[in-house]
Amino acid sequence: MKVYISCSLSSPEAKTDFFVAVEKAIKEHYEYCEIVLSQIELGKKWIIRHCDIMIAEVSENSMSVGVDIGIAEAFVKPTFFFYLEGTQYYHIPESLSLVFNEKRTNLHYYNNPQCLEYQLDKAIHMNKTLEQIRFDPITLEGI
Amino acid sequence: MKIYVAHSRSLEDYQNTLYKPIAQAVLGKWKHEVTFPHIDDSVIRSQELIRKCDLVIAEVSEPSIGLGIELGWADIYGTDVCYFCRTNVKIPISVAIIASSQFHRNTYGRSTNMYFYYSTGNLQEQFSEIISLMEKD
Repeated sequence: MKVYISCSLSSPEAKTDFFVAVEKAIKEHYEYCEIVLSQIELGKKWIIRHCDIMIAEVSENSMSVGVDIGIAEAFVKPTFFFYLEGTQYYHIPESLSLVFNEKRTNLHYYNNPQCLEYQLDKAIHMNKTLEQIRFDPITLEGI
Repeated sequence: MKIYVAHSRSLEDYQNTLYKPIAQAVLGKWKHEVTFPHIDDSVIRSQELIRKCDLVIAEVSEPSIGLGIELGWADIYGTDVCYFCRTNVKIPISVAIIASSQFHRNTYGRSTNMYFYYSTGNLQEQFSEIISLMEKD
């Protein structure tokens, strides 16, 4: 499992906290995993292309996160969005509706570390269900 | 030629400072079709438009996630992008990198894909130059 984490590069502390929380949650569910943190570099589209999922922190209006999301969307990568309630933007940026799924089940709100942990767990479970559907279409009948 | 204008919704008075000079530059040139995505309050599905258009004009003075998403799509679909930024604004580093990585693409004889402007008149002038180079190609 290769996970790409995209978050704003303007606040390094928040970025580290988010990264640590995601790393912990992923490692609880997947024995073999590689976690890649967003970075500014020329070859990042190839890194995203070879990832299995993307986790994006969208609480800040970051262009860099937007570019990552656009690339992941174009490569049809499962993407999970995390939004810290009560931050800079009261409402989730409207433009993100371009990439949410129909029922917005890939958008997760959190307001404290425990909530983030719970939401990450939920997202990973959802991804596991999607994986099951992809690799075992018979599961579809039970859903 | 199909042109898509990408920008942040929070760009101040974009109808007058961005849409107007671009519309004036293509005025009377029937072969150009320009899409202004935020001409009203509706949200348009821009992914297909960006995939199919010939040129994206990206105003990057104001950062936005939505604009970033559109730039990411344009990058993957190989759509030609011209970046416009105000001279008094520091350009986001992620934009500088994506712009430099795309310059090898179809440039219609342009010497750059990054344009800095100080007034709407200057923006119109530079956009008109791009249009004439595309027409010559």
